[in-house]
Amino acid sequence: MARLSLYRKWRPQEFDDVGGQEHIIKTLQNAISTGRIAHAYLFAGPRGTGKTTTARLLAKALNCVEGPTPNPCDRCENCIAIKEGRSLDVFEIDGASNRGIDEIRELRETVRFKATQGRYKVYIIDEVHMLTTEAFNALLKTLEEPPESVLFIFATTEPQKIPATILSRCQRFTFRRIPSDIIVNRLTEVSEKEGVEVEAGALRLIAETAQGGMRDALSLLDQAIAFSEATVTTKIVEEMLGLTDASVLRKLFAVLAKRELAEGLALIQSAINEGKDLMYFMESALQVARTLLIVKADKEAPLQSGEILLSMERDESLSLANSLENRFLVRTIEVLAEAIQKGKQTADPELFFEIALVKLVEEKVVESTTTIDNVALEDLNKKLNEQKKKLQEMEMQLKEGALQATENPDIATFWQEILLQLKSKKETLEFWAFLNVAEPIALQGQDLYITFPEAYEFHRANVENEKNKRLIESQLEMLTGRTIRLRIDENPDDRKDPNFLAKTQEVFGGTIIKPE
Amino acid sequence: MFARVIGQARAKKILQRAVEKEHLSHAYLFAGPHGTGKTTMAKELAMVLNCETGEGCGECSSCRRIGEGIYPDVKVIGPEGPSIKIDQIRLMCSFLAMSSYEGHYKVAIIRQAEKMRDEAANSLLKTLEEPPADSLVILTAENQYALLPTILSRVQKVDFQKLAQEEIISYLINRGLSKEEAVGLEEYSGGSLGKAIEIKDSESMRELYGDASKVVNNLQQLLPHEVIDIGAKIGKDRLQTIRFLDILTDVIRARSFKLNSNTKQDFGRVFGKEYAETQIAAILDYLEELKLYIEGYGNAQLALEGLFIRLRR
Repeated sequence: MARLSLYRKWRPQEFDDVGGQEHIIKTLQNAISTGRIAHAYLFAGPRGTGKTTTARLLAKALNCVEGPTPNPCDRCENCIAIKEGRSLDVFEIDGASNRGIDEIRELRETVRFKATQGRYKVYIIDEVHMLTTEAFNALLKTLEEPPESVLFIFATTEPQKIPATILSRCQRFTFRRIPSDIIVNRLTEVSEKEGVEVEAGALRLIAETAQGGMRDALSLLDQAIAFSEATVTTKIVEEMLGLTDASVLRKLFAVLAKRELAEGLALIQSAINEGKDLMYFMESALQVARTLLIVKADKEAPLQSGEILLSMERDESLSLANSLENRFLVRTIEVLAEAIQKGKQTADPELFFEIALVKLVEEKVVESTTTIDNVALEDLNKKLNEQKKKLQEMEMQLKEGALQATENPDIATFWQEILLQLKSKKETLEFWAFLNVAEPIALQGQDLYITFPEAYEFHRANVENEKNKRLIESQLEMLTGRTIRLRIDENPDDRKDPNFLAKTQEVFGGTIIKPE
Repeated sequence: MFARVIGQARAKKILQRAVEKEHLSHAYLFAGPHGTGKTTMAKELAMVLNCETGEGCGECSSCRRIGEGIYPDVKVIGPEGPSIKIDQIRLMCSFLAMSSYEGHYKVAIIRQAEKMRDEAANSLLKTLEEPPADSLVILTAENQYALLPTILSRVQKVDFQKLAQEEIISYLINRGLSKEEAVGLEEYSGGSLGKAIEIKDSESMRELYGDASKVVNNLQQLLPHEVIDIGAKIGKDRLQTIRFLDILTDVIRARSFKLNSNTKQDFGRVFGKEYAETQIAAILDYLEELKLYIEGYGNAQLALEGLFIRLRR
């Protein structure tokens, strides 16, 4: 039953077959034909993009009987030996299992000997990022100045784990993810050569799922061929991958629009029973929500991924979008993103999908508020202004009223209260100490008359000090909520002598024109 | 073929077709929840490949020896302690590199592959990509997202699902449980046959199950010291606590989200109390948080007590 899987069987044996990495292939071929081959290369890039393949091809190109040639013959003894992995000059080393310093030392020993069959000795170290620090360092001298005709090729998915001292000694090539179109072309080619009929839609689906990895794509194709009776159809691929189809997604969004929990839970349950991949379900739902937002904002937007998932025309998706509020769609994206993340963490997407659904169904349906009546708004503003004016008037009245009301208060209690409040606060405690000994006489309007007994000359002087006085007055204002001016040892009656006019006349003479 | 695996129609179909068409991959990943038959299926596949009748009869010498784990060409490895170590993988790779004793397929099964440490996983890559002829590597994992992308890209993935209620219930009845017992037990299994069997057979799981049902059914009636006692007893063991929380999660979901459940009560009737949908969702979220907290070496007893207090309010 010795059967090679497709990705091994169809591993490219010519530079032209390596898809999606033209920038690298071109450079390498030019380097070979001009004889400017570096002694160390680093191939970095995501899984399944052709790193190991290119490394083997480079080894072939250099050791081919007709070589070094940019187009190895693939027929000569050397090419075949390399292809079958039994060449004595090409060492393919698994960096992840031979990662210690001892293995590297051993390797250094063999580097000194000349190639046996071909021209170059080629060391391909795969998964080189797993070498230990000591192993890397042991390699540095050899890597900088290797013996003639020795070539190192490092391949890795994680170049950031490689020390800078290694990086600076290599020529680095970064492999890109392979675009879907190129994957589809390659898959078509392979399935033709394999003599298997595959629907175009199925190939596209496989290419999308592979996310830029050729090996992933070929592996999926392999699985699909194994799974199907004769022709590989889109439906079979969907079933194999557990992909959610458009009708289920449409149902989900109808359920969300109605906020129907029970139906939604039943939908999840049936998706599980049919063997759907819930993670993919949630991711597609998220794409759809995003698409609906975009379509709502811009009716002319180019075709969106969510529309492909729903297999809907613009009119249809727009009418679906209008049945859901923007706020709710944003919330849907947030909730689903959280569920996806948690599902990956705990490998229980079902639970988090259910929780997400409950959260979304609980979101209230909001009445449309898109058209605000401008007239009503003005009306409201007017009313607000009126209320403001009224408030200001009331404030004014209150102030005046307060002044009148306190014309003749019980001065003793008023004074006690002030003292108490002064005492209660740390910053006014000083003033309390001074004022404590004073005696209140009267409160007329803003004027508070107080007097100090003979023995407390020091206290009086302190209170009389302009600066302190202002401070005390401002404190009193804060405490009582009104302006108060301290009058020390003044006779309140002096200022309101009923006989003031008569006395004045007595002194100055003259006539009183208006008595009041 | 695969008669001894319960459910998993799709997985069976995928593998059966691959075997019949002689289109088997050299590496598979069986991904799905705990106790859904991943390892059983892996062994069954090994039997099919090495069976004298080619059917995986379970009767012939090869099948029997594979079942007992003494067949020289089938090797099962799993975590030793908390993780799978690089030496285990190296040993496994050299096992595959040698030719087979019995002249058929060599099968290496790696259980809980997500527990491979980084070095171990990386050292598997080359073998996983281009293994020796007539050899098969099967990884099983509960959380496929914890595997390296470089591993995922080299294997064919076969998804395993939680089992349907009827499948578990009828299995339990076949194993000698009464209908009521089987129905009650299924509610606590969360669709995992493995868990249902564990509860049925293992003393400690039975006890845990009893505590869980006490909490689920009469939490509000228990006296405060009884609640604290439960917390103290289970909280001593981190693993027990996580299992306990798993059971709680499963039973809450069985009672509130599974609408066709045989044991379905009014939506949200758990812990002797009515809960609104959002409250249920919040409790489930909280349970997951607690699991992460305990896995992160938080204080299990404290976590349980906090949970009970919150639920009793």
